[in-house]
Amino acid sequence: MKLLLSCKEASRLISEDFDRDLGVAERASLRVHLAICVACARMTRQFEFLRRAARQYPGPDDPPR
Amino acid sequence: MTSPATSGIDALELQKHRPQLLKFAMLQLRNAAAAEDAVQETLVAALQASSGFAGQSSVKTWLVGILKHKIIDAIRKQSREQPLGTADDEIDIHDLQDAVYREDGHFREDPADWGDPEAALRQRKFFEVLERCMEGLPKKTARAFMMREVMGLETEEICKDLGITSTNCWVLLYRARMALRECLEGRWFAAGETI
Repeated sequence: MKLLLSCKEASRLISEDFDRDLGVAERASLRVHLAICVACARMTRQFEFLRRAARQYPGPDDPPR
Repeated sequence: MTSPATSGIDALELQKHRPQLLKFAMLQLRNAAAAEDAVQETLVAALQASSGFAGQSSVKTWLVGILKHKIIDAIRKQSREQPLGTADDEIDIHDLQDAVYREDGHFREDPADWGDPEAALRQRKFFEVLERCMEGLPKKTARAFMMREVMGLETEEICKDLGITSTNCWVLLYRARMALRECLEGRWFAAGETI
């Protein structure tokens, strides 16, 4: 795993971090990338939000009529 | 079948939730008969257990909890009897990435700032948009995503139930997240419906 990832490479690791334990090298590379890349940091937060939203699906009850 | 005399919830109250449950099951099973069966079993189980309903959660939340188990049972049965094909999910991972990233690996268009997305979680309408976005996913991709993120199953269980390798499973989940991220951005966060 190289130290400097492209956004494309980082995005897969960001996603896989939700589903498996990343290796030490993968984790280090991803951390470096996220520290300098606003777009990927934003995507990480969006994936986290997606998880929270999916866990709450189908969402709040309909308002009382 | 009669409901226990002590029952706090009657059949009529349960039936009110049928359309929502059916939609939930359909999204996951993509088969009307299987979805109908899962919902029916859920309502029967709920009726039998209704005296045990503690009222700590809403009736809907309680029913969805039962339905999730019924759906997992149905998925396991389906994958034994007729494993899902891969046809509709065979978009090459590189094609997907090429749509989002330039050749040098940078975003063609950066993800937008979603501001404070938490407010969306209080809105019924947001979940309808999420539902439409999930409907738009290929069958197997949708199933993997829902098993992982809606039902909260571990990746190993999902691979086993879908009969795929872990690597394929991670790719399906990656694809689902990328597609849903884009869909929500276009249909909700860019549409200015965040209030």
